[in-house]
Amino acid sequence: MTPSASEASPNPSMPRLVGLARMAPGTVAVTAALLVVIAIASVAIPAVSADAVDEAVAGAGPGTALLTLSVLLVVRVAAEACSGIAAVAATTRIAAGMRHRLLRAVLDADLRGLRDHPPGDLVTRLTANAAAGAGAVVTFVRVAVALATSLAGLTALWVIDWWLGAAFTAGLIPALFLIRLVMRRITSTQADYLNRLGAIAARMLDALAGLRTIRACGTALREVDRVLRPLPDLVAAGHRTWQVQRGISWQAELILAGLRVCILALAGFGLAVGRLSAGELLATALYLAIALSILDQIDVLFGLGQARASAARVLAVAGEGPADGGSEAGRRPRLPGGPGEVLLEGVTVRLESQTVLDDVHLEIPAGSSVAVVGRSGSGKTTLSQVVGGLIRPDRGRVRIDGADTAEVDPDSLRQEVRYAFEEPVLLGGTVGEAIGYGRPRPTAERVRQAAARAEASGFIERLPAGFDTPLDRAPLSGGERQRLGLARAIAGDGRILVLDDATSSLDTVTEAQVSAAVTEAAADRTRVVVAHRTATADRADRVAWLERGRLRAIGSHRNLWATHPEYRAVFADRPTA
Amino acid sequence: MPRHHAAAVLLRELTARKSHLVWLLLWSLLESVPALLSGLLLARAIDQFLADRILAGFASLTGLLAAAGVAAIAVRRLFPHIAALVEPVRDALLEAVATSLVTAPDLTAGKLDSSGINRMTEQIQTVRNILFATLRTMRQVVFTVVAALIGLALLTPLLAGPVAALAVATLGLFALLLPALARRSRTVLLAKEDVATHGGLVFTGKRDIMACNGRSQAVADMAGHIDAELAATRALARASASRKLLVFLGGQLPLLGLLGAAPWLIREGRLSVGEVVGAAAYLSVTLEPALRNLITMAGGWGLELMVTLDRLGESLRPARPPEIGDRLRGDRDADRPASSGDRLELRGVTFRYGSRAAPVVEELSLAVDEGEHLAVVGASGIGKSTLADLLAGLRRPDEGSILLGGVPLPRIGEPLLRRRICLIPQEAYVFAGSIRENLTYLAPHADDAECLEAARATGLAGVLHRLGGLDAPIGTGGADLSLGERQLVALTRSRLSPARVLILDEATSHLDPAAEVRAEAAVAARPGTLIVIAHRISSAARADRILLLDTDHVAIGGHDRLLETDRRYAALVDHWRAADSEPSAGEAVPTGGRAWTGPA
Repeated sequence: MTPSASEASPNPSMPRLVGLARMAPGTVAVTAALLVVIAIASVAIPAVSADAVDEAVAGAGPGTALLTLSVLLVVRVAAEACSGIAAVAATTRIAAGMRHRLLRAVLDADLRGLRDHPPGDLVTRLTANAAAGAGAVVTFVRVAVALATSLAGLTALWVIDWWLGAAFTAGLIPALFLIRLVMRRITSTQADYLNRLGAIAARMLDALAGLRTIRACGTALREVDRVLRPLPDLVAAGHRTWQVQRGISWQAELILAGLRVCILALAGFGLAVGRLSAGELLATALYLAIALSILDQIDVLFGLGQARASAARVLAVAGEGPADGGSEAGRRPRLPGGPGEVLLEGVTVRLESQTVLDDVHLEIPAGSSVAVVGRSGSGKTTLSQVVGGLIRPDRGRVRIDGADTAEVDPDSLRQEVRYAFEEPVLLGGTVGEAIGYGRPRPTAERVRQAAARAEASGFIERLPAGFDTPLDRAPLSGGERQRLGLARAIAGDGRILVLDDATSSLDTVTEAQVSAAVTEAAADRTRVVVAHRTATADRADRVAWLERGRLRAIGSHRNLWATHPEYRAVFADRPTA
Repeated sequence: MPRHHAAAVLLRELTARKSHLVWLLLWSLLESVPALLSGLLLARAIDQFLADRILAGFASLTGLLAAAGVAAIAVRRLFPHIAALVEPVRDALLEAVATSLVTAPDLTAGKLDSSGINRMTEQIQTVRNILFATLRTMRQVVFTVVAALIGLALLTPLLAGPVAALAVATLGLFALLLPALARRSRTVLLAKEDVATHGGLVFTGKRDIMACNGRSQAVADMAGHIDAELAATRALARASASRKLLVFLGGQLPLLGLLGAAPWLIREGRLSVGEVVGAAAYLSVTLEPALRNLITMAGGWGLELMVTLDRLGESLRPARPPEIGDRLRGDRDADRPASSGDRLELRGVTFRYGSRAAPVVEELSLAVDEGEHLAVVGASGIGKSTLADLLAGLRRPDEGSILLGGVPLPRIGEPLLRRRICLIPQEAYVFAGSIRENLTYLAPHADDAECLEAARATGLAGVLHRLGGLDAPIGTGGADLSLGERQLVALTRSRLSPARVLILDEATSHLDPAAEVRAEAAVAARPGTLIVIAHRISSAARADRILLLDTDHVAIGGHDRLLETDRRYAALVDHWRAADSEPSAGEAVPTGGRAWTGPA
């Protein structure tokens, strides 16, 4: 994290534009320079046009004024073309920088860090918010230059004739006030409208979840009606937005026309009494347009606020540090080799105010298996995730083969601790890639072997293109996904294997087969198994019994079963299947 | 046609409202009066001011104000017509999305997921906004260009020709550029969606990425997508830059020409000073900004509209082809052969998910008699849900046929088939509405007494009581109900359904064993055939017959007979029992594991 970025924002919710601009300093500077050139040319053009008209009225042939005007127009158009390219170059670079930062921050945080940000929320930050937020810098430069240009236009009116300047200034204030007023009304009716649109989208999501029922019941056409039931409300809300916009449009146009005509009348009077030349009257009309463009900036200013809010949403997660600085964790030593002994020393994990794991001491000898058992909410999953550093303990230490996992390179730790989950998220393009996901990449042979061990080969062969079937075209049941997740864990050749309820969707026969195959494949690995079934607990060398975050007891399943009624009650907790 | 489906909807809705378009045109003419008169009146006023006829000059400028008043009235009148054109397009697109959602032909590989729906509603909103902007602003700008050219022609016929020619050339060149710009815009949009899709995967799978040591792979994958979007956006920006040069051609070159020729024109007496200023005002105050806006808008909104409609149309691809519509409405019910009884029969049915894939169901023949209770058991992933889909007629077998009452399923009209066969899947469908609406989903005429009776039978009565009766609202996504309660709603619904063949596909998976017994009994008590994809052995044991699906063989028979004759079934029951019950205490022998309580 650069010191400037961290101390730059007294209000962390609104990032300093400077911080964003630093991501693409060169292109931002070029854009700003080009915008200034455009502004200078735009302010000069009416005056030079006036001179050209006056030259013509005076009967002189095409003179220096016309030549200057031509040069100015050509310079401006070239600058406009280049500024468009430069602005996009700057904006895209800033957006990409924010995105890389966000991704790294998300992937570096432990699992607790992002509980408040569901994936959909993060996607919005990654896409729409990063794009809008990146625009803040260029928008700011544009607004600043445009305001300066408008002020220059106003000044020009004062210079041409102070009457004009005074009249314009007096007329502008009520116009600004009126426009600001109606903008607020637009925003509120628009929000109402979008809420109602959201209600229809929510009903569509319902129908999507029940698609199989709908198809099976032949109720598709009724569903269309049901989904569209809030449509009349939406239409009414839509018409309210039109009402508001209509009010603004005609009033604003009338006010602006009135202002324009007043200024022109004053200028005409000036022409009649000799205070202005004909050329200056043309200049008045042109500067009037420039000065009035200040009204367009209200919209843009409003947008600038939104853009900065968008950037703040990205940086709230991404942090304001440099995008490409290698993480400090990556320079730690790698996990030393060893047989896979796991040692938890007084591990405590807190989630908000709750203590999820409370001072847990647990030794898992290399090559042995331990089943983690407990009621839901007792901390089983957290315990399993602490082992591989998916969650970092608030207190205490996790040692693997003697090395404190907080002190080693996280990548080397994760390479050695492999996980299979109850609901695995399959990554990669195809079924085969999903099994081979992660580093180091297993060979195709190893992938097939792992699939066979997880009893997944059979259904993979029934898929349209076997291992090459794209994941989004593979109709997979919960049990099938679990087996792919298992195959993925087996394919990664770590010394510790953690199965977090990873066979819960399998029927008991398949589960027994898979367990046997996994045990055989991972005979030399240390295994941590979160278990809900008695059979699973029974198969483990030992059981670690958790109760409200504390280790209640450790021993063999049969022993615990025989001696503790509360232990038996753990398994009655949920329907077995 | 399908790709342009959304565009077709847009055109259809617009052309269906010709009178609004005509009114829009008429009011547009009045709205452009200021643009038409501005230069003329300014020129007149200047010449009057120069001739010291100050009051006449003021009068001319007041004409400008009057013109603005006319325009304001026109704007007021315009808006309802714009709204009347824009809103129905949005409604029609929403309907098209909803329709293609519920009639998607493929259950598994549909293009729509939850993010897809959000994206589509956003796209519809984009279409609405752009259409409004087009009708409101771009229309106005087009009329302004034309009005300014006409005004210029009235002021100085001499200049109007060349100026109009340059304006037309500008717009013509721009039209030539458009296809290339549209292609690039499309690339940008696709690249954006790519970033969103893959980003969503990374965020959803963060835990798994960490657990697989896939961080560097994920970062590298995403970098590729992000850079592709960056490159596409920059390419579009470079292509768009040429638009600025066009504004110079159409808007600024004429001004230079006018000012260059002005000394001569004034000397020769062809134009007055006022006319020169008026013409310059037309060119630089009215025409140049209008052309600039027109090119920016057409290049921005126009492209966005085209591309958005294109994308929307693609998502709508499975939109209702005519025959599906007919099938759904049952227009052709009359021609259907009559079937007798509800015997369900499979004859040599084979099904696979792709031509290269191994079959999920192979050469399966089976008859389920009217009123029979059949349980289907087998390992997970063996194809039980696929079989349920086949039996319900949701998938068609690759070979063989399925008959209901002696008639192949495809020959029974879709509405009739759906009334006779009802499938309740594991993921219970509960939608926003009252509980009554949810319960009477398949039996619209069921009265309250019937609903309450069914709820009592299945065990939903307690939930009903908690929520406050049949009128209690259920939020979107069944928000107030647990997964088990949602399944109870679906089961109660199935009890009320008039269907003679009921298929439960693990529809009790979230219920505890006692609740399952009760709900299943309530459903079995209704007249007709019951086919249960069993989730527990107890559920299978209650059936008349059991169908066992295994990788290499299929067996059918009563529970006791299968237990004796089929080794695989016996193994399945054994494992199921072991998982369902407790090991006997007598076997528990301390095995020397240290039993110790965790340190305090």
